[in-house]
Amino acid sequence: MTLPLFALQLLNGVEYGLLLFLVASGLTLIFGVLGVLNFAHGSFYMLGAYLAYWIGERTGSLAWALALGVPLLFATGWVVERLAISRLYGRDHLSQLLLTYGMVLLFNELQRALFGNEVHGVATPRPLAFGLPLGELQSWPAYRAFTCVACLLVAAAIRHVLLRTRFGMRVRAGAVNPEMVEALGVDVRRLLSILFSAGTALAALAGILAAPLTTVYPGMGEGVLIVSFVVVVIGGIGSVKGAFFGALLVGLADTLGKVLVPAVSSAMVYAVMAAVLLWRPRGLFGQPAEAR
Amino acid sequence: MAEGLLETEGLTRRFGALAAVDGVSLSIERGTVHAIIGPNGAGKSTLLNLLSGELLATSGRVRFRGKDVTRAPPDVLSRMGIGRSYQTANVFPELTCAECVWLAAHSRVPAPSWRGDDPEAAVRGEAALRACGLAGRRLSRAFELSYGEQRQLEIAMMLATDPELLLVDEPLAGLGHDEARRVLALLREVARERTLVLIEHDMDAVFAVAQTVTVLVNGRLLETGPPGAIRESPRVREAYLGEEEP
Amino acid sequence: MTLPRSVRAGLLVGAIALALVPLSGDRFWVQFAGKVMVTCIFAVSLDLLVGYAGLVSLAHSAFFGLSAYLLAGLTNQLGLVSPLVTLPLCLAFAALAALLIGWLSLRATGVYFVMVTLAFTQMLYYLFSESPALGGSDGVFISQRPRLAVLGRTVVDLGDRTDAHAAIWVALVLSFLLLRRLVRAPFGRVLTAIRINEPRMRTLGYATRRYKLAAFVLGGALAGLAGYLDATLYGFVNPAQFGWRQSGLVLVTVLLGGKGTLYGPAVGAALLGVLEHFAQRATEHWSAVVGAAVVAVVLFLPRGVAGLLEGSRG
Repeated sequence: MTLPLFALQLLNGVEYGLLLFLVASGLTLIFGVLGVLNFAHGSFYMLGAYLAYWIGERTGSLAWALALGVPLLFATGWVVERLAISRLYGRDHLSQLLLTYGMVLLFNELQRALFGNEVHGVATPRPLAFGLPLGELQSWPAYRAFTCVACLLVAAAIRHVLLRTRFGMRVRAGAVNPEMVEALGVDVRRLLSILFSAGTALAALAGILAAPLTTVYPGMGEGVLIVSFVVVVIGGIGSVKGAFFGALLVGLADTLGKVLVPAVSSAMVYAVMAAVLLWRPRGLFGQPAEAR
Repeated sequence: MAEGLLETEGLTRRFGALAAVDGVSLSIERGTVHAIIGPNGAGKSTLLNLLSGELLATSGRVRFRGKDVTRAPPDVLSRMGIGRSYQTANVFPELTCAECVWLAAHSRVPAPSWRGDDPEAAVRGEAALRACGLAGRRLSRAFELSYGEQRQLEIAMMLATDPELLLVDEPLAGLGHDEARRVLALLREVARERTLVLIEHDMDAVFAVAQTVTVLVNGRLLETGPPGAIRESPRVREAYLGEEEP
Repeated sequence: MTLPRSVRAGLLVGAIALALVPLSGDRFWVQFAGKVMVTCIFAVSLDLLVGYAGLVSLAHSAFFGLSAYLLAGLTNQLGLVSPLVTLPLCLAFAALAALLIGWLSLRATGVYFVMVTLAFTQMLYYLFSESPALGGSDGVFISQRPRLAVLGRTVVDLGDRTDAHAAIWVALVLSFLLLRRLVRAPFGRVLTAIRINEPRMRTLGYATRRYKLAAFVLGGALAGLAGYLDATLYGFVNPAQFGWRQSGLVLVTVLLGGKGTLYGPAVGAALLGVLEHFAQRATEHWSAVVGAAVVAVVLFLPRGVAGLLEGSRG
């Protein structure tokens, strides 16, 4: 494999990882702070992608999908949290898993009823439909570079919010000690709603950005969901830093795996997770277990 | 000097930059009641958790009957003969008292019974319940018991494992006067053929039952000695007993 | 824990009714009853993990599928047809897989445990669906159903509808009785206590991980039994038997029926089978019906049907 080809795969792996990070960061905070095992997270990714397709069909512009889709799905997340998720706080894992599993079944049928079973393509925005040259023969699609930059900007924004705002401080405290969030005061209900909605909006954003790259198809939510769970576990539940590095690790392992060892590439990601957990049972940056 | 039943050497446990227990070396003599006292946050409960295996030491050593058990997990230490009782009742809320002590007693059966019941464990469990004055409550579920009764159940469960060394964390905390007297008398009775390590804030109780007192302050061992010497010690008075002013 | 007499009577009636289904002569219902009974075995074996040991395992379908695939392999490649040979091998294989996966997974706790079990089940799904040698995503047909022959004469032919039904019924009853015996024995009580307060059990001297692993292996072996019988019933195995959907669905039956009761998940499996059957006839969006039912059960009936039947306990 030539160097430019390798560089291409590397870049693709990073780009995939960054998109995964958007999905996984919401998931890890929902897990860590709300304590909710949210199996339906991937559905919001899927909804974002379908919105990108639908709005794209009507307006011909991905920018509109971003401008409308993200707030819309933030609001959807808010509604879902108030109606369903809030009933899961403090309940056991089985209940949480199954409630959100039921929601996945519902969302999937909803998507099928609205959009049917076909695969839909979403056009790459024209301003970005060129290639960045890598060496003589290869080029990297500019849209992918744009996606990377967008994800990095979002990551920086998340970091800023978490480290430099009061809201972020409460979120970080809650990730370490969910009970303490209660003691911190009146705004707990709103904090949780905001957090959940932000998480779903991030997943939807990832879906919108990914739509031109992966096409839009039924079941795309589950694929991303499972892999995001893997990222969260590798990184450590409740740790956004862990989600970032876990996502990059998974993105690279998956992309390079497909090229280097295609026979077992699908299983690769899970093997990586199992290996990490054997080494560090709480993930790379997770809370170390106190009780033995 | 005879080797202590339980000995620690430079035992340290850090949480980040904080050393909750810092270089503690002490020796628990067989057959004694050894009290550990100190202001809140001194590291007493942490020390007990280190001794029971529930926390892993950052550095230092623990020896039980001469064997190095520093890295031993809690179930191994329990089977070696170390019993544990907690500051807040740590029982099985939805199970009955009889079931709770049965579980404790059954832990000493060598192999898990796939077949019938374990009558011997039931007998030992009942004996422990009786010794702790809970025979009448055997069919009540643990969450139905009063706070004092739950503490008694705690002790009964510990007893049912027939331990050689008992690690007891503030058994009298939150108890009314009569209940405290009952529990204290129970502990004295129980400690007669065993070794007891006791964390307590009630100074009268401590000085009444203990043969040795160790004072911890800020995770470090300030002083160790017989109760009289500790009570008189100016260092201890300054660091701790002075705080006991009502 | 004794059941209310009405529940016991109900179970007995249900068991007899199931046994008598072949008398109806209706091929569809006989196979349907067989499928329901297989799911009952699968669900009850999972209850040992979920309801008693407190282990929410998404790997359970792995053992179901592995056993089924081994049967296909033994029959197709080695021509082994006698259940006296294939059944023990498949059960042992499932148990061994459970030992390995359990040992690895139990190093993690809480949600991490759930995720690791999910990972293993997904790995197996991809392994089987992407390997042409293992049949690929289309699955594998089993050339012959297991047949028990004594002195050259066929005694039990699991290809025959009635024989298969009887065999599955016997397997279900035996599995249920075995598990019931186990949970009433000290082993079951220890598992329950581990679920309630594992750290306390450790300081009482129990090597809790070993107990959980034992439950995991036993549950896995019985899941293998269910997989073997399922493969026998349909003569077909496919990778969809692995994967989180299947695992999620069997967890649904456990919750629906009532975890920690053993009979509850069996009831849940039957109810889910019936629900799916009628929903599929009613609408092409039948899985939304199932989804809605799941959501409703979690929100309004957390203790499942068994909770309803037993009324409120202390």
